[in-house]
Amino acid sequence: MTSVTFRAPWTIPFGEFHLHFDALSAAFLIPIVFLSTLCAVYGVLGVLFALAQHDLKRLLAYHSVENIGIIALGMGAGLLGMSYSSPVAAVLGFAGSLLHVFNHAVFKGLLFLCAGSVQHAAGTRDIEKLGGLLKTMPSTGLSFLTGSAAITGLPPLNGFISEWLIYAALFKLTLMGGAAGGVAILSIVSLALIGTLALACFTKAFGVVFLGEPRVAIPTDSHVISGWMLWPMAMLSLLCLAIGAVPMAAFQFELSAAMQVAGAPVLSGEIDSVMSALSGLTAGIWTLIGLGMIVWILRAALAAARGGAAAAPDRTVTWDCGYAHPTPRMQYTASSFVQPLTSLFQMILRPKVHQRPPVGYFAPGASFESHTPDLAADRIFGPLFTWVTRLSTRVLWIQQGRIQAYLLYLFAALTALLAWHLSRV
Amino acid sequence: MSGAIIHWAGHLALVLVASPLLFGIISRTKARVAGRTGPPLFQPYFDLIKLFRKGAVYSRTTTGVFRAGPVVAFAAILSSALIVPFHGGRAPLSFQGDLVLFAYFLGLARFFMIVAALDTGSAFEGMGASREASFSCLAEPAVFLSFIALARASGSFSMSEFLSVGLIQAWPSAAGPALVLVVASFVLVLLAENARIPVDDPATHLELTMIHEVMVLDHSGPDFGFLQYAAAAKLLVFGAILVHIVHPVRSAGFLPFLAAMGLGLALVAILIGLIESSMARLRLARVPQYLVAANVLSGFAVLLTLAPHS
Repeated sequence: MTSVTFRAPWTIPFGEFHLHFDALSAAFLIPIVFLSTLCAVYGVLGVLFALAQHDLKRLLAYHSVENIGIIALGMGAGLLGMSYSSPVAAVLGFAGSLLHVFNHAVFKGLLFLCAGSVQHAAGTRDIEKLGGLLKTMPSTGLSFLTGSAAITGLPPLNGFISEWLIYAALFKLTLMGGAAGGVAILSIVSLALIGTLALACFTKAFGVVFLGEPRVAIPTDSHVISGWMLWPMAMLSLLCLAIGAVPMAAFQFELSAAMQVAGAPVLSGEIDSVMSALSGLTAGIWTLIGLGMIVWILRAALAAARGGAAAAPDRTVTWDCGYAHPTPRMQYTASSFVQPLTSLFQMILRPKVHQRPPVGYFAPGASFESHTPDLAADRIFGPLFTWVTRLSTRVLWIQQGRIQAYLLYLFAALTALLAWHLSRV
Repeated sequence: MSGAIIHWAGHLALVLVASPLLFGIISRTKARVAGRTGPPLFQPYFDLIKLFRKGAVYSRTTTGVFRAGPVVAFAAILSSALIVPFHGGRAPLSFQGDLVLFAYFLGLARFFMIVAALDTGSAFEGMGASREASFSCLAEPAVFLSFIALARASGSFSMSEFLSVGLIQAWPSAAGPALVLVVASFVLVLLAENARIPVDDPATHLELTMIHEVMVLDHSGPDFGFLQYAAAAKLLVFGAILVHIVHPVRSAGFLPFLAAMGLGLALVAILIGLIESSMARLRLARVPQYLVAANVLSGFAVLLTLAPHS
């Protein structure tokens, strides 16, 4: 007994059609709660598996899972807002969710372009074999840094705006009682967890690939990154910055669509309160940018105040507590960087470890390697498809390839249907 | 307009002037407990001035990211300080949902400190960065759970509102026990986020067990000064939130409020000094358990606020 009515006044062709949910009823609440919980789990698992990856593109692909989780959490907030007749929460949730779809396309596109350039130039996507690329490919590195900060949801970039809208919807819902509050609390905590795990993952990806020293010498036949590869990255980076700098315009951009999905009219006073919060957000973001510039100028002024030859900074090797010959092999690797987290979540990740520990006093050699297989592929889809294949081979005999046999099936099916029909009458 | 500028500049000046003093009080407390005289109360100011007048040494491995790290971290922490009220009335940046911006400003600072540490290509700093990234994953949900409990107890999700008027009404109500749990959880988070004992030891950086100090091992001169200043401002921000939660005061005029806040912050600094004098740092393997405890406390606080009020 759901009171969902689908009014669909189609206007031809591809015109707008209204998918209208009249105040969602309580019976609809259970699926929403289930969906939101599932998406929270989905988002956290996505970023956890991304954390354990060593392949740059695979890592980004797992982050799509995480981001779809965030988008769905926004949708869940919107639906909860509707069922608890809080149109403003619904609009915030849907607007955040829609904006995140767009933002995800921008920064994930950017990151994949960067990953492609890295593969093109360095000949590998294995994070553990890369390093120090910022010095050889500064534009790609800067783009990757922008994309990383954006996907982590950091101000002043676009990812933050959509995540803030979803947070705002969820916080509004937490103030209500009942299931909506409970689900909203769960969603907020998982969004916070997703955010910090993404931070760990992208500091790893950017830090290990682009910073420090190259871990393996780049092959001499490596390709040069052409301007045609850099321009799209620059444009997408600028778009990340632009959307982040004008939250109000970004919200306005999604507002009409979100209002249409939310259905119920939002009071203009409520929209005004959202707008005033967004103007506060804009002020905050520009404060950050302004303070950043002031501190940067201050830093330059301090250097200039020392003046003359003394102003040129000394350059030396990295301080390794007195050790004067650090080698690239001594750098922290990506696996080591995420080890505290992967071991904390090893119940879920189940990393496979191949190790050869050092034996004896003058150990000839030792090695350690770990990789994390895909839980869904290995535990769910693999067994499922194997089972389906086994089942289909077992019923293969039905498929005779002779037209007579198929006619017989038709006849048998019709007879069976007739019998069933007669038995019902 | 000019009033707004005075409000912003005054708030910022207050943060910049007051924050290093907390470090001074902490080290003075520790010295007194250990039976020493200790450094002057204003030693952190002298240290900062010294650092800002020094030149810097850079590793040949580092890039612009290493130089940008301290600047972004300092700017982000100062921005977050503008969201927290210090002097009665509203903070310069206050709107519904500002607590999310607060948390993400701190996240931005953390992001840039981690990548700056990784830029050195040193195993030490990589290790510190890894720990910072891992432990913050456990501290962040506790912060958000505390905020949810505070928002539910006070009916607002703007820091300037729930830390003052909202909590004055919340303490005597049924939400009181929840607030006690929030205070306990927030003290744990404050110690972890500000790299204090029992999670991290700010007094040493050469051992493999350290987090924050080892991340900034390669920074020197003004860059290191910015990082130290940022750490002081972060402690001030967390301390101010704690003082507000424990003892929310409605604006009683600028000076009395400032005096109350100053006294509260000094007490927080003395508390940290006493904890550091009487406890050892936890083994690293125990830190996640410590942070989970913070999560559990604030989680229970949220559950208590979920109970229907009488």
